[in-house]
Amino acid sequence: MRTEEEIVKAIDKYADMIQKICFIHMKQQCDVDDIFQTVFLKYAKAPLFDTPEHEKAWLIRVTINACKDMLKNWFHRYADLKNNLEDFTHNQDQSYLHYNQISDLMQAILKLPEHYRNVIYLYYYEGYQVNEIANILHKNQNTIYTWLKRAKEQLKTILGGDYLE
Amino acid sequence: MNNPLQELNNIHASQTTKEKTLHFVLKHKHHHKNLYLIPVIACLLILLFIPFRPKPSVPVAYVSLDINPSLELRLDQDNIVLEAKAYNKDAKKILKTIQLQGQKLETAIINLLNDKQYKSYLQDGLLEISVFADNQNLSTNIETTLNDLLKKNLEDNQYHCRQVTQETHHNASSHHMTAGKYQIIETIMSYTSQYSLNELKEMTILQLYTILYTFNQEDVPTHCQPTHNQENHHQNHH
Repeated sequence: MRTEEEIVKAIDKYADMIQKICFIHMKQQCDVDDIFQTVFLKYAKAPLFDTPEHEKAWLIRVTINACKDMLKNWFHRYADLKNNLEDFTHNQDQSYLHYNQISDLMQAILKLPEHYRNVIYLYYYEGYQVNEIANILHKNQNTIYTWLKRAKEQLKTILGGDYLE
Repeated sequence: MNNPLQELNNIHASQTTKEKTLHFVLKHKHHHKNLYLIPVIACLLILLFIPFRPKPSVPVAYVSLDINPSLELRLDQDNIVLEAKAYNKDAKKILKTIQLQGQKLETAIINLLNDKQYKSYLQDGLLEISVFADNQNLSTNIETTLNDLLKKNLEDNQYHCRQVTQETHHNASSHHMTAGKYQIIETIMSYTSQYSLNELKEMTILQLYTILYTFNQEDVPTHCQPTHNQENHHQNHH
């Protein structure tokens, strides 16, 4: 079990990252709080990590899984799975971007399937290489290459041009 | 180099979220270990005061079979079929003409595979079998038994058999569908909201795996993949 000091430090260090992952998974703020609690309770009980990079990768994976599990709970409650982007961003608190602040690229990314959004976020925002993303998501590298390629193709179709190199 | 997603720099966790999280974690990391004692003590009390366990007539294992007929066999601890439940019209039609209740699992499966009506569904379809039992050993034994049986009676590309978790079994039940079909649908819906639950429920296993294949080939067992089945169905029919 981690000490209170370790947990406070981890929350300070990684909270923004977790919030960003929740954003790309279009989670409502009420669900974001649940996800934070799930992730950091697991963190409190997790074994020590070899390196800070290992710790960060672990937190990314646990957060993505928590977002997916939240979707399953939604499914379980017969909720409507088609998110409305405008409603989503208008309902968030001050920490979120608002609909009219989001670029065309971000709007397009939020329309992609979730697994494509994950790889786009990890590759372009967090700067991970394909092999690192494969380790984080427990998929093989070819799958990650395929998802990145298809994500970029879909973005090109939506946006009518190449926004990502 | 400009990060194309740099607007994410404007996303931050609020102080309220951080404080709520810390409060929750500190509260639960202390209480959590004590909760383990409650079921342990309950089990000890039960074992102490109830010396005899009558033979249960409730199912201890569940085997679901989906092609498009979707049915579930509920088994007792000796693998005898206590009940055969139909989850769609096609399965109801099958169960009207074939009696599975009271039979040993292997006999029931063989009778099903030999049924003319059922064979016609199998001809161009894929049989998905799921196994669930609270007792992991029982679940594994049933899975092994079924795989051995199916290998002798069907081609590799005609079936897929696997165990499912308690969570999947219960969630499937609450959605009034078989666990095998539920698992595939749940995976598809984790990738896309393009299809509604009701649309996917009406599809055959082959159709569901074909859709899933477009999102992630790894999620589809190799011998159930569309390209694999196209080649083999072509060979089987010529």
